Amino acid sequence: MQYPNRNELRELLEQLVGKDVTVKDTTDLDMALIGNSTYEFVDASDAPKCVLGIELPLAHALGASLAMMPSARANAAKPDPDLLEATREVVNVVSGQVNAQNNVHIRLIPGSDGTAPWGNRRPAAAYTIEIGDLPTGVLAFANA
Amino acid sequence: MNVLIVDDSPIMRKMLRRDLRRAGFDHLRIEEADDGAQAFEMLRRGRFDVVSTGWNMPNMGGRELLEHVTLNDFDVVAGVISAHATKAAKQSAQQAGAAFFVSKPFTPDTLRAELAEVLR
Repeated sequence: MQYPNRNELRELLEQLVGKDVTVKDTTDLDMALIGNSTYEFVDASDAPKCVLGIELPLAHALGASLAMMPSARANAAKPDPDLLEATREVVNVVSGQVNAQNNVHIRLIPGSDGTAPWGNRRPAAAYTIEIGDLPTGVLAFANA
Repeated sequence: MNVLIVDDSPIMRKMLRRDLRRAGFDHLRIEEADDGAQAFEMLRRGRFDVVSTGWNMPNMGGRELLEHVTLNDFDVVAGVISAHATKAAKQSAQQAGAAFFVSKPFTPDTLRAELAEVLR
């Protein structure tokens, strides 16, 4: 699977959240921070194709940016369902970018709530993302 | 003009309302549905001029909704707003009767450019 590079991801996120976004390559993904923000994608025959994991602070930041919720909420230590509902839409749009780069059509598993297991996967692509003064975190893709 | 927005994400429906307003489409009366099945029932009961639907949705996706619109000869302009703007999806939507296909993420400018003829 091919995944968006940092420039493609930055452009997509900036267009989506309407703010300046900084995206840098990284190799570190803190599994302790992932919780409730890992999403699994399947192809047309419902075969797993890839997962997208987001460290919780960044998941909150993405959700708060998209839904224009107060930025202070993005600092919540525990998963905020309202923010993560918005995050799911960000994930959906990012998956559209992944589709554009591959010959398979992937989609979020219907009803996916961010609790897919990351397991022992190694990231195929991982980025540190900053949105203004919101919490920073890592977003990573891994093959199924 | 009566517009039905169909998307399983309440956040996205809210954003679309907001950006349609920002695009200058102040004359719209907008109602919402969170999946194709609900939208179909609303179309059967109500009078809409335009339907904008997502593509991947539970309880009837965008393609199936478009097919129902065509089969039932609803007098409505229907199209798609989706993150999954692949060539195949656009072709499929067009075959099912879509008059427009707007890619997410959208901005007020893209909505104005893509929907000016439909929403005037």
